[in-house]
Amino acid sequence: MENEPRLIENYIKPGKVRLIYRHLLQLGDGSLRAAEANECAGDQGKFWEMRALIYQSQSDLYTNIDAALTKLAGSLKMDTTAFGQCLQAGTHRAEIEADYDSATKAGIRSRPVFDINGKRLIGFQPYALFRQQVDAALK
Amino acid sequence: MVRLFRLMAAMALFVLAACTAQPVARPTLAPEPTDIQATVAPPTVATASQPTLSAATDVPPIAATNVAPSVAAPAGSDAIPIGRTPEGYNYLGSPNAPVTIIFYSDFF
Repeated sequence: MENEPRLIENYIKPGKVRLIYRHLLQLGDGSLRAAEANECAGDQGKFWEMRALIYQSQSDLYTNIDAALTKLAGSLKMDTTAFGQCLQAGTHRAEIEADYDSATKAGIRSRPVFDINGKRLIGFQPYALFRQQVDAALK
Repeated sequence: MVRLFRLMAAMALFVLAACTAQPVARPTLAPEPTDIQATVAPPTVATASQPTLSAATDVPPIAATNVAPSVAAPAGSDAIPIGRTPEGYNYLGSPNAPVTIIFYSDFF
């Protein structure tokens, strides 16, 4: 999300906003595998760093995705053995799929979607709109 | 007498040369203390960074083993609370923040 750095600086860092990430799996097995890797990274306290790195490295993930994801984990100085075990065991698969089912039932049909204190923004939006919605929610 | 004087002079030169040779050998020992300091340093860094995570979480599910800031971290995320909600969703920001943004997205 290109607005994320400004949201972090202006709202999250000062304690005004908390950002919660929910997984969608609209693009098949690659989406699921990347989401699993992201959660395995979360087990080691690196969810947000891994998420950013996966977005940055998407072109490297089209072939041998598990090896590429493990390489990313290593670059974040994670325990790659534990990471690999987590990925191979599918430790987070069921909860990610349940997350996606829940989002679908909540009416999420496209991506990205943002719920700001219950008010929904669909698709990529300019920062000004986020600012307006967040400021309104803060009043 | 002259031979005795020459012999003493030669011995004096030999002793002098032997004494001046000692300092040359010392620099080869110097790196050892530096290496020892480098191996001790990392645990200090890891310990110092742990409180940032533990203070942040609703649920303490994360093994806060390696919390040092990394290159790929979201901009400005250092020292921002992270964790998982009771439902298991990852969050960034204060659990007490008045506004919550739920971000639904996908990779690829």
